[in-house]
Amino acid sequence: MSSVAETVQPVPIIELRERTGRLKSLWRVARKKPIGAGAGIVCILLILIAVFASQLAPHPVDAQAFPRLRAPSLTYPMGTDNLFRDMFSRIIVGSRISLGVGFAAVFVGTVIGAVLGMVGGYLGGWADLIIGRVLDVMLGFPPLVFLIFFLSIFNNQGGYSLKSFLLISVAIGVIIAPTTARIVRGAVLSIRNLQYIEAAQSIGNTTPRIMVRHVLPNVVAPIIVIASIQIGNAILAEAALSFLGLGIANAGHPSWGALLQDTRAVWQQAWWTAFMPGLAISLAVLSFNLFGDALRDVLDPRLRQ
Amino acid sequence: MAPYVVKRVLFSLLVLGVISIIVFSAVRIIPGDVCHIVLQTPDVTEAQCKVINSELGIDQPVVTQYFKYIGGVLKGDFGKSLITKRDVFAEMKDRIPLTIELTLLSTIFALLLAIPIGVISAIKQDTAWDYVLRFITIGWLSIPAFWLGTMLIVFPSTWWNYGPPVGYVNIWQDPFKNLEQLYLPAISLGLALSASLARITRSSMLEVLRQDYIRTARAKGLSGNVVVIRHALRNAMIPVITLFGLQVGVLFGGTVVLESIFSLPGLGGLTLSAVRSKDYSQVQGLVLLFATVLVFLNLLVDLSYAWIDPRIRYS
Amino acid sequence: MRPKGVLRGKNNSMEENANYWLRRKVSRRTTIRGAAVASVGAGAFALVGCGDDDSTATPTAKPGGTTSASPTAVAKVPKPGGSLSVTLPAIAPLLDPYTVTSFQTAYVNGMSYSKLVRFKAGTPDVAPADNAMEPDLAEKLPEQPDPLTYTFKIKANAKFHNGRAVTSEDIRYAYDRYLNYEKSVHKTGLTFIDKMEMPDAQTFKITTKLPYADTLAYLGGNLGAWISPKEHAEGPDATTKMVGSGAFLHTETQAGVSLSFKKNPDYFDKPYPYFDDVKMFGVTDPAKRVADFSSKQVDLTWLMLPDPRDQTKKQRPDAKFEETQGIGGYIYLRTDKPPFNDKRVRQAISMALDRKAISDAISKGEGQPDQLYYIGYPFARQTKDLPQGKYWEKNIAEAKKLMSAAIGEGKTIDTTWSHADITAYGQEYLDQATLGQNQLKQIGINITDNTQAYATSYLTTTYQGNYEGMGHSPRAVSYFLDFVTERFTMKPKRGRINLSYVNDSKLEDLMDKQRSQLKLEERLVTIKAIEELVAEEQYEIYFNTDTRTYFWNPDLQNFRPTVWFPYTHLMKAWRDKA
Repeated sequence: MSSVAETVQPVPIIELRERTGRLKSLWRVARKKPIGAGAGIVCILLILIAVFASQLAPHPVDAQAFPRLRAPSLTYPMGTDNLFRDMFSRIIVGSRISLGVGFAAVFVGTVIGAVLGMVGGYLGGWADLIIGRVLDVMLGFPPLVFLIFFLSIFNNQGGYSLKSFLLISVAIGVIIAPTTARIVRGAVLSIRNLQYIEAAQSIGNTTPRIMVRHVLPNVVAPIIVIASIQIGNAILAEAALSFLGLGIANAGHPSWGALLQDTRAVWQQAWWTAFMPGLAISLAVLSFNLFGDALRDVLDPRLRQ
Repeated sequence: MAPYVVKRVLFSLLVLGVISIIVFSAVRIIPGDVCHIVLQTPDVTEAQCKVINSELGIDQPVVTQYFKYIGGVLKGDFGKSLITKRDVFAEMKDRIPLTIELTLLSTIFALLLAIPIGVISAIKQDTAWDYVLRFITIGWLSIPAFWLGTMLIVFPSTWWNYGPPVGYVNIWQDPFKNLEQLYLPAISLGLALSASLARITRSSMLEVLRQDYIRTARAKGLSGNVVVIRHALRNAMIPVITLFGLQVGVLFGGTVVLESIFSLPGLGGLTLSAVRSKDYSQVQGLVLLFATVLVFLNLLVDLSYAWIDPRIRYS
Repeated sequence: MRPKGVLRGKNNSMEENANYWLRRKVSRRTTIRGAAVASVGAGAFALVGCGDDDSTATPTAKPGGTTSASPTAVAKVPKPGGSLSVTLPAIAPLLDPYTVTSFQTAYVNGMSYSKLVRFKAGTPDVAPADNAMEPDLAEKLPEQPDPLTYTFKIKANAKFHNGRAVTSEDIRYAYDRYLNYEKSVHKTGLTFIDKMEMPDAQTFKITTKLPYADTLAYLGGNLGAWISPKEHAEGPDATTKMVGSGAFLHTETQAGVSLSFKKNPDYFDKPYPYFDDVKMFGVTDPAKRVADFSSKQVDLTWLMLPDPRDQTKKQRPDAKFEETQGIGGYIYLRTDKPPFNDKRVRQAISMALDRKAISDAISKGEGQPDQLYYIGYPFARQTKDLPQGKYWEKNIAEAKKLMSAAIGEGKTIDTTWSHADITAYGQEYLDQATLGQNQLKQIGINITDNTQAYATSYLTTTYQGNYEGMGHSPRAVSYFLDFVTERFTMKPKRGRINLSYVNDSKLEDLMDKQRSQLKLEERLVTIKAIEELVAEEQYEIYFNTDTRTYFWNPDLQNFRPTVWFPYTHLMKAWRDKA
């Protein structure tokens, strides 16, 4: 949400170069933005961890086979919880729901937001007016209030299921969408009257075709930037929902927020039960934020200096 | 300006109307029978259900129900809670001051933290100061409020046997006790906001500092601090305020978690318990109340923007 | 009416041998361990027993808790005045005793409402689970000209908070409302009453349909027995205010946060109450409950499990505490359908559970293997002393054998396990399910967890018997023996908490029999037969109990929590601090 108002900025046109050139420019950017590049690497690592979670976790998530509440050590890198389970394995596997919901929600939010923003920005007039009001309606709900309201009605049964996953992702996506829409709209406005669009119009291209072939490629950059930043928010939203017991996690399918809720009663005796899942959440959110920040700096000529 | 204001106000009313329709119809597709919720027991006879349905008016057509409800809402009558049978508005009215106070306190906390950080970061752009401060603020953004809140309950009590006074007293009754009860949740709620605000303060300060009039002021011989405070900061606050307007919703959402953790009687905690007990007439009232406040705030932000920047109202 | 003393003497000697809790040394500063928690957790819903009894019994004092054990109270001079703050896990939104079954409501009802009689427990000289009764609104315990008739004399100075005197008509009104008011949630509880008569304003006479052993225990219990006057019960504030004849006037509710009480200067039992003000705070978060007491923000805590208990002891070494035996969870299953209609499957489940590991995880290993009549009843045998005791011992090999015999070699069962989410019973209850489900995998029972929202789903489906496979709830044992009826009867319809769909004519006969057995010794024979039958069949599969502890400030005097109603006798307590 941090970026809501840092919105309307001119968008550079991505130059399509040779493959080697692209790699080279990537390297140049990485040297210029070491923190962002580091964060990017952490993000990729986190995604890989989530994908290969079952292979990476040293123990099954629900194996209740260890001493209770052991502090982190070589044997148990993140300690054990109050139900005899290895926290390290649970945190690794927990990345699946946390990042999975995060990505799915951002995907939903980005699609909704990008479509609304592009249509509104490109068509202007009545369409823009109506879309603007649709966004106002979305912004009229406090995010978390909307989430629990929406889920209590549509996800009455809850639990670990595809339905829950989709509903939670859609719900979080909806609260994310307005920000994306505003940014995309701003970006579209800045290119709408450029000559190449006029050229495309003049040779009789249909509006949808122009939007897909000519407008979209030129607003991809801000979409990527805002999406990468919003992953952090989506992860936090999922954690809050799990904490309130409205998430999809269960004992066999943990999420980071649920790990925090599950161990809350023993936080005082066992600091690692609070610290480790909290660290996982913060690390993921931080990495995506830093990465998104660096992306913005790279792609925004004004701040690049 | 006047036609623009009228237009915006009408839009806001339209938006509120749409929100009320969404909320009203969402509540009506809930699974589960209203009489079971009302009677809190599964052994309900059809006769009992009939009585309850006609008491609640849900035997009438949905459109009639909607207009009756909205008619009531306009007169301040949000209906009765399904569970406590208390007046929905009365239930909320008692809790509004707390939520407002909590939101304000966390805003104040966030601003006190954010503005100095943002300003220093901007003045010392690209120095170690800037990097450290930016890193810290972006770190704050990644701390879940519920995690921080629980930490603030658990560890002061473990280390120093310290805990804020239990319960809740009104600020007019006992301001000190009231503040002691609220400062921990306010910090938990305000930290993430302060991070966003610090970041926007920095970037808008940078922008303002590059403007010609600042250079002129400097050229006139004003010292750096005076320039920053008198000229740059004031102008840089516009986007900060805009962002704040948009973040009030996030704060309201945050009260749901924090009021529950800290056992405070505010609107957020009420929302959670109403959702959990399926008290949908209460939920409906709460969501509408939140939405009204947010739509109104967004309207104010838009209007103030237009007032500052005339180009907007003519576009 | 059997003289209490005799009976208790008997119990005591029995306890010496039988009751584990009495032999065990407990806390440093306080007293003994009690038994049975009436309504922590599920209690509220499980407590109303005797649903469809068309049977009989006499008022023998029923064997309930434990007497004995030295009270720590010394003759001290009461210090009237001052205030007390108390933690509750939540502030009940509805306070009307007629229409709410929640234990949260029942607990606070006792501050402002009275009953005809009440349990004695609640001061240091009485054990927390002692089942002895004392008069409340009644002048003394009732006269009983015959096993069917009870005559109560109402205290002449008993007044409602609105100033009106309590009359026998008020008692009749209340009982009638419990029985017949359409929104009453205690319709079945008082069905043993045949006739109510009011010879004069001070005299109230009940005739029961058949001799019923648990009459007094029910009338002195905390559900469906409070007397709320007609003008209030039918008034607009019935659900939000409490206007009874109890020791404290309910002055204010801060929704969701606190209840405030003031001394009732006209209370009929002089010189009580001592406190000028009592404030009860609803604190849902367990971590905050520990913090609030550690930082001396409250004087009396809510129940704590061993982990937070030890934390609290560390932080408040000065505090007094009382450890009461906690509750245990239990599994119910569809015994009317395959595969759980086969008792070998149920026995296998019981033997596959590692109860010790579950106890270690949620209760630091404290608590005991539990069975039907275990908690709180001094006569009850521990599981190891039952002929069926082996079902409580983890034995995977044996369990696997039973499973193959029942469903075939190498076959597995896929089923669901429904239970409530965290909001009602806390994390430890969820942990029990998590651990149990995982343990059952070893014998080929693959469980899909079904965590349900407490109010919106669990209470309206699973807890009403609408579930498939297995379910899981916390279990509370009531303060009267006849509670088994609601658990296991099918006559004339499924008992309210017969969630296992038990339909066993042998068991029905035994239940009918105990209800009409007036002599305790005889009744106990039947009870033991019920116990063994249920153990053999494993109609319900019990986890271990846990232990739960109340803490309070050292200056709070003449207070002791009881297992069924912690605040009954708060009016007798005072604080030394000026």
